[in-house]
Amino acid sequence: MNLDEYKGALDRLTPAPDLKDHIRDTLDAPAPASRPRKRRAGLAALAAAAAVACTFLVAMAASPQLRTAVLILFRLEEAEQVPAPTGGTAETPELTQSTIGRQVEAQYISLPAGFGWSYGNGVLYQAERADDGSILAFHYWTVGADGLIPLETHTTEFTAVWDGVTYTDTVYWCEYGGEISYYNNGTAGMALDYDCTVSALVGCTGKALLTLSQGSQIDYRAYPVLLDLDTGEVTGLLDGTGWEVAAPLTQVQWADDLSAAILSGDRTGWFYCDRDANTTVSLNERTGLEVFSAYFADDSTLILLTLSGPDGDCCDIWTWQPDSGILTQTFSELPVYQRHEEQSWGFQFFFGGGQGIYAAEDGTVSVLDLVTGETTAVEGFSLAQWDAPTFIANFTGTKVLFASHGGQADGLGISSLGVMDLEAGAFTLLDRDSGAGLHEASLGWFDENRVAIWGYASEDFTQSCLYLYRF
Amino acid sequence: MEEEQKRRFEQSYDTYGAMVYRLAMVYLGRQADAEDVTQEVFYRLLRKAPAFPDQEREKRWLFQVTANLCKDQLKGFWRKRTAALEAEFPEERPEDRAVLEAVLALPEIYKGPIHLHYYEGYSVAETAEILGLSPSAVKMRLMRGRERLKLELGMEELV
Repeated sequence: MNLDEYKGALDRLTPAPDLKDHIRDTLDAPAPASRPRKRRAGLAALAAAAAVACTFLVAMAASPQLRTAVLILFRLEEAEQVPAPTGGTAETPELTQSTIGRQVEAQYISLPAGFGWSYGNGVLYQAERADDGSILAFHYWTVGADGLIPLETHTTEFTAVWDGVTYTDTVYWCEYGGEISYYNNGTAGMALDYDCTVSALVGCTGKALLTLSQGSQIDYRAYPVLLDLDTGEVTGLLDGTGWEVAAPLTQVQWADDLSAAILSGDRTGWFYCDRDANTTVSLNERTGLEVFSAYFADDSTLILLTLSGPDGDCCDIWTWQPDSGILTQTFSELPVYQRHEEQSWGFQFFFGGGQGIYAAEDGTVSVLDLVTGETTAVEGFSLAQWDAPTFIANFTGTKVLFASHGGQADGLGISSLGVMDLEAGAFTLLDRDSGAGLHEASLGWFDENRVAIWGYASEDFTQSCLYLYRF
Repeated sequence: MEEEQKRRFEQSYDTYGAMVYRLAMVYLGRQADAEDVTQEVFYRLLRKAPAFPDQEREKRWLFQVTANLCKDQLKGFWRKRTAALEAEFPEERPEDRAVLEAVLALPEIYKGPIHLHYYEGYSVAETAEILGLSPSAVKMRLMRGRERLKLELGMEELV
């Protein structure tokens, strides 16, 4: 599918000619009324088909030396009374806080327009834009005990050239907690058919990764370069490594010290690029596996996923050490977790910390260490009582966020929120009472220790709010 | 509805009606549901929305409300375990139907980013602001959504 085919097909999604008249008639009524729904007879059959439970194999660890640890569940008796946004547009941030069950510290922050948050970095940002969308001013903040604390915002302007395209943009960045947070506007989407994005280098505050991209859909291709934040100078990272065998690149992952990268392309598969040795090799050829996905566990170990099971519905987990070529299987035939499926269970992979969650068919939950094959069972906890729960690991993989949905708030409707502390061996779970008026839009780690829920006043979506939790 | 509201509805619907409906269809895949959401969006625009300083802000607000209402609808679908695709497409061009089926079969989390970025032309940063996501989350969803679109079409072509 190319972009013209994609847009051409979507152009054909047009409303019925009488919809405008119907809405106008409805708006004349004192309260909104729903249009009668035109359900088709086939719907029930399709729904039934979607609800068929998959016949998965039993998950098993490949390591005979499997060790099992236990997480103890603590469910707080006191439920959180989630405050609703007050409505209207706040001119300045407003923060209130409380301690729930003498254990969970919560901060509720109402925010003016233009605020956003960066996952995992512990900062908020505020972009002041002109009518045409261009950025007039940019500010970073962190959240203190009594309110927002402004951070020094720096700007770096750069110009880079790749494959005949000149990229010019401004990066807004701040340093907080030894990490750099970035924001760049990029180009105007597909209008220009190219884009550039900036991302952080772990433990490095003087330089950033800059990904230059062109095209879209199957024509999409990207190339990574290094951006010096002091000078705006751009240098190539893959030059001379033979990366072209993996081109066109769609994704590049880096070892923390930038000595190696995992390259992947939609059409070419997965490759390991050794910058020190100036080599790029196919992971399939080097390991003898048919690699479905690959990630760095650390600078010297890769986690590889391959599909398995009679219908390819399961996956095997491997570790591979490029220096020695040692390949080790840590889990085999793990059914893949199907969120939102009826009777959902199986394996869910985390992109932080090299860990995964395994939900057994009986609802019991374990945390899997994909590198060692170790499992940590959650004692006294069953997924069976939760509706399509969410698990998200923090960046270092020391804690796992749990959220269940089905509460009164719109959007995510988070009815319970918890954190599995893998180092402390504890899983603390908090029930939430939300009323109407709040639309919960996103959920994640604000930093290594605090969970964030981003929401809006559901009346008009003009007021944003950020709720932070430290368990 | 007062005359001023009527005038605003006529103007807004003529400008944005198809845009709102299209995003709702991408999320929901059913004409009746997309029409419900379109109706609710314009109800909120007339009865609850603030004054916008310019048309672009109004457009972004409409996208934001549409996406949020659709996600609420999908949440309800899952609760009722009736999340099936019943798309009503124009039948004249089979190739369009294949593309639309692939788009509508995307998991919910990819639909908003893919549509706003690739169809409406918003940048990653603008898409992130509209959907209340971080730019890195949008980038990841664009990449995965793009891969899935190609994968779905590839499988269909094999058939």
